[in-house]
Amino acid sequence: MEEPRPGAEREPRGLSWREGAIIAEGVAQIGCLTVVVILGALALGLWLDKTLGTRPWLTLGLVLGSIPVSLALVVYVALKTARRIQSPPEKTLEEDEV
Amino acid sequence: MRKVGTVLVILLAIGLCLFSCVLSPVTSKGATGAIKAIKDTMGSVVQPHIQMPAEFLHIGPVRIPNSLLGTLIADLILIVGAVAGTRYIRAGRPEAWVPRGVQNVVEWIFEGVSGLLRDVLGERAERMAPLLITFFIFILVANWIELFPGFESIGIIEEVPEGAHGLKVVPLGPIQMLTSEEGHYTLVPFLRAANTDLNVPLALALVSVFMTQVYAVQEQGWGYFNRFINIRALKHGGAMGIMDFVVGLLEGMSEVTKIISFAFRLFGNIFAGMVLLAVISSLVPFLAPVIFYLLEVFVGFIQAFVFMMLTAAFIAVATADHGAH
Repeated sequence: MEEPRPGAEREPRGLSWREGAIIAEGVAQIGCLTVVVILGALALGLWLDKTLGTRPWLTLGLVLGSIPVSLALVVYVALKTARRIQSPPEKTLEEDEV
Repeated sequence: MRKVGTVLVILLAIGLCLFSCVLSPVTSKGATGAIKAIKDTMGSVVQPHIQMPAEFLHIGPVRIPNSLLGTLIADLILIVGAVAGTRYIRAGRPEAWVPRGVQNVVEWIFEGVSGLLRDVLGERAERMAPLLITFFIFILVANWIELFPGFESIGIIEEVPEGAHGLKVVPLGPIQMLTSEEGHYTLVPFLRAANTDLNVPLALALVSVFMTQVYAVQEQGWGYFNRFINIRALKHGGAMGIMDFVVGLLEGMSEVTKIISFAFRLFGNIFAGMVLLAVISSLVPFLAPVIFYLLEVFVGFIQAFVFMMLTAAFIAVATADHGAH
C-alpha cells in the first residue's frame, strides 16, 4: 500500500464523540457568557444607581467594565476547550485495572 | 484617500449619534429640531418600553408581526447577496475565475466556514455544510440588521389600553414623537429583529435538532435510535443493562432539552442586546450607545457562530460511533 507523501493534504477525519462533546460544551458556555456578565452588570448598576442616587454613572461604568471582562472570559473558555481537546482522554477504571 | 476615510468615519460617528438621539422613541419634550432634540434628550430620564412578544401591525384585516417583516428583510438581503455573488458563475463568464466585489465576499465566507466545518465533520461536511452555512449567514444578517437606524424606533403611535403605561406625544414637523412625560400612547415599531421574537429561534432550533436526527439515521441507519431506547441492554445486561436503558432514556430527553437551550440562548442574547441598547439610550442618549452598538455587532456574530458550531458538534456526536465510547 502506498504511503502518503509527507506534507500531502489529507481529508480531516472529523471530530470523535469525545471531541464533539467537548466542543459542544465549550461553545454552549461561550454562547451564554456575554449575556450573563453584561446583564448582571446592568441589573447591578441600575440597582446601585437607584439606591445611591448616582444615575446613570454606576450603570454606565459597570456595563462598560463588563464588556472587556466578558470578552476575556470568552477567550479563556475557548482556550480551555482547545486544551481539553488536545489532551489525551482520561483512563476509565476498567482500563486502569488492565 | 486616507483623509476621505477619516472624514467618512467622523461623519458615520456623528450620524450614529444623531440617529440614536433623534430616532429613539425615548425623546424630548416639544423639540422642533435635531439639535434641540439632542439637548433635551440628554436631560430626559424615562423608562424605555420593552415588550417580549412581537408587536402586530394591522394592514387592513391582516395582522402581521413586526418580527416577520424583519425576517423578510433579512431573507431579501440574503437572496440579493446570493444572486449578486453568483451572477458571473451562473452565466459562465470568465470574470468568475477572478472573484471581485460581492462574489469575493461570498466566496470568502463560504471557504472560511466550509474549512472549519471540514475540521469538525470530516468528509461528511460537504453534505451538511449547506444547512449549517445557511444557519450562520441567516442568523448573522438577522442579528445585524437590528442595528440599522429605524429598527424598533420608527412605527405607528397607538393608544395604550386603560391602565397600561404610556407616554405623551408631541408633533415634530410631519411626524410625531413620544416624550418622557406620562401619557396614553406607545410606539408599535414597523420593524423588529427576527431573533428578538422567540418563535424564530425556536423554529431554527427545531430544524437544527430534527436535521441532526436525520443525518444520524442516514449515517447509522434506524439502529441509531437504540441509543435512546436500548432494548438490547435490557435483554442481556442485568443490573447494568437496566442502567444503560435508563441512560438511553435520559439521552433521549437531552435531545428535547437541546431545542430549549438552542432557542433560549439565541433569543436571550439578542433580546438582551435590544434591552441593553434601549436602557443605555434612555440613560445616556449621546455617544454612549455607539459603544454598545459595537458590542452588539460582536454578540450578533458570536451567536450566529455558536448556533452553527453547536449544530455541527451535535451532528458530529450523533453520527460518531457511540459504541467506541
